[in-house]
Amino acid sequence: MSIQPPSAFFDLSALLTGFTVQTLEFAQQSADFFGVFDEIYGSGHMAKLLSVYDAHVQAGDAPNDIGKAILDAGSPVEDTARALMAFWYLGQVAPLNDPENLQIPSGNHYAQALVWRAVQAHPTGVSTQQFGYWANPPAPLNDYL
Amino acid sequence: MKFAETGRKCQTQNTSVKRRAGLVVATAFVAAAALYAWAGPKDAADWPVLTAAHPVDVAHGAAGTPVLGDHAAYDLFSWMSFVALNSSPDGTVLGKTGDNETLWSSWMEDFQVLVTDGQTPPPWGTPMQVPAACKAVSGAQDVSRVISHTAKMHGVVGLFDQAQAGPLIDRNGAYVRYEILINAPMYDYIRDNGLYTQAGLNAFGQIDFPAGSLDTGQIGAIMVKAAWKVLGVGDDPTRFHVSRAYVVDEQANTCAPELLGLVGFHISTKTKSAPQWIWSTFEHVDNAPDKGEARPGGHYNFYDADCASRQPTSSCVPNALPETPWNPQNPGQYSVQVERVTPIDPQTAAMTASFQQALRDVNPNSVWANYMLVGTQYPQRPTDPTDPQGRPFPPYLANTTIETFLQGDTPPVSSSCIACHNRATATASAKPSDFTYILSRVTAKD
Repeated sequence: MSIQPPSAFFDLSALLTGFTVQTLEFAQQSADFFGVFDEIYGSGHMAKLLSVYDAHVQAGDAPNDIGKAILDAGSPVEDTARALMAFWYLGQVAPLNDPENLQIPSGNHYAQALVWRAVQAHPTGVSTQQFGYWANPPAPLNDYL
Repeated sequence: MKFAETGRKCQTQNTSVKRRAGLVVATAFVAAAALYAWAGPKDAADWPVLTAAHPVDVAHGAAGTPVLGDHAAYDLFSWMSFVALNSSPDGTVLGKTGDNETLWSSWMEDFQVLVTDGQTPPPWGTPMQVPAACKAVSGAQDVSRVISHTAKMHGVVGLFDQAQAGPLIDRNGAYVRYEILINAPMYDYIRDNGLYTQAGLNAFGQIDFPAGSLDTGQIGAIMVKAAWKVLGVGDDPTRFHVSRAYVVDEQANTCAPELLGLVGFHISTKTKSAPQWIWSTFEHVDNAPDKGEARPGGHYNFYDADCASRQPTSSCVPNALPETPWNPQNPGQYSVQVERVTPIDPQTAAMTASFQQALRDVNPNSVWANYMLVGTQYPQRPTDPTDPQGRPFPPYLANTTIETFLQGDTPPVSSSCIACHNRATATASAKPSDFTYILSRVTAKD
């Protein structure tokens, strides 16, 4: 059974991806983005990233400043943040020390990847829509966030 | 706290789960369905309650929208529904007599609404016609007496293929049988709106079954799906809710009276708060072990620790479809080795333990204490404009006797009640049929 991620994981992920915490929480219910990232990318890197994020929050930094600081932090914090963003968007992640070994850990990671919502669509082969939905325009982008 | 006129209650204590008791509220009653809605519970001491009063909907009260994944209120709704639907029509507390006739057994079978050209479904409450194959059974007169004597269910049970899969074969080589029944609000909606013909479906607008509403106190559409096993060698009938019924084999056009034990039970309830319906599923506790967790020497309805000693190893692979051809009349078919892939949530199991204890307090030999809630799937965000499934939780849910072969968490093939029924359509133009597949089987043209 997967471990319930700390709220900071969702807060940071929302900051990095532009999606709401609730959307990310829904995705986490089907696919363990938190635990599996740690397992594949390398243990301890997520904890380090979250500690950096938490330090900025404690310092009272604005969200945009926190995001910029993290993405400019250099290795390994910056790399971890970018890998996490890619994991959320594409459902794929590689070990830090083996970047060519990209993996999509499960069908649920594929289906829950944010890229589908970013383009207001659904993954090939997995749709939550009812028959005939293609006759209507998708909901506004904001509804997908 | 108030109960409907014929409500009964029995209370036990379980502090771990009853703190959310106030989340389920219902009012009024629906006499036509012989179901009574419930005016409580309002406080922690009011459950588990063994009442025939049926819950109408789940309300979230002062707490507002529940935390994502918080299923306690829905599990309580499921257990209250289970107790209400399985209560005796005479108002006796569930299980007081050990086993009992159930309220839902008097509902209409799905095939009663699926008429042929020129026919109209009979009015609600019309007894089912015994099929010709059963009338021809040798000693059929005796069979009728047996049905009348047990009065558990006057049923004709024939279906054996699971949804999008094949048959479940028990350890005696017998096929598990299924039946689908619907309550009066759902039956009358189909009948009154002419949805039993393709022309009627085409002429009708959006299909929108009545929803249980706390505003009106009215119970909405309810479907139940029951899975029965033929009780035979190695089965203890005193552990099951039993029914003597005609078992029909359509392929061979045969019919036989059998003693059946209830092994699986779905309840699907449409409510105002859950337009994607609330999906509750129960099983007999002896059905199957969790994957790799079989008790040494334990008896299971659909798992045999010594499977490989009596049939080919290849047929003992857990949850594998049996070899074709599928025909209940074929002799010597191998049983399906069933394991539960996804363990039952601990909080759900705790609530089940509480209700089981309440049932045993009424009667230590209550068969109903041998059933457990597997889970409840419900929409977390029913009006999500991006997801007509309403963000169901849990994402997957399977009953080992009804979705045996679809267990797991692989999209989109693993069992998800809402995801599957969201695809249900009616008519040649595939009009969404409001989460029921019954209307997809309408064959009458006009």
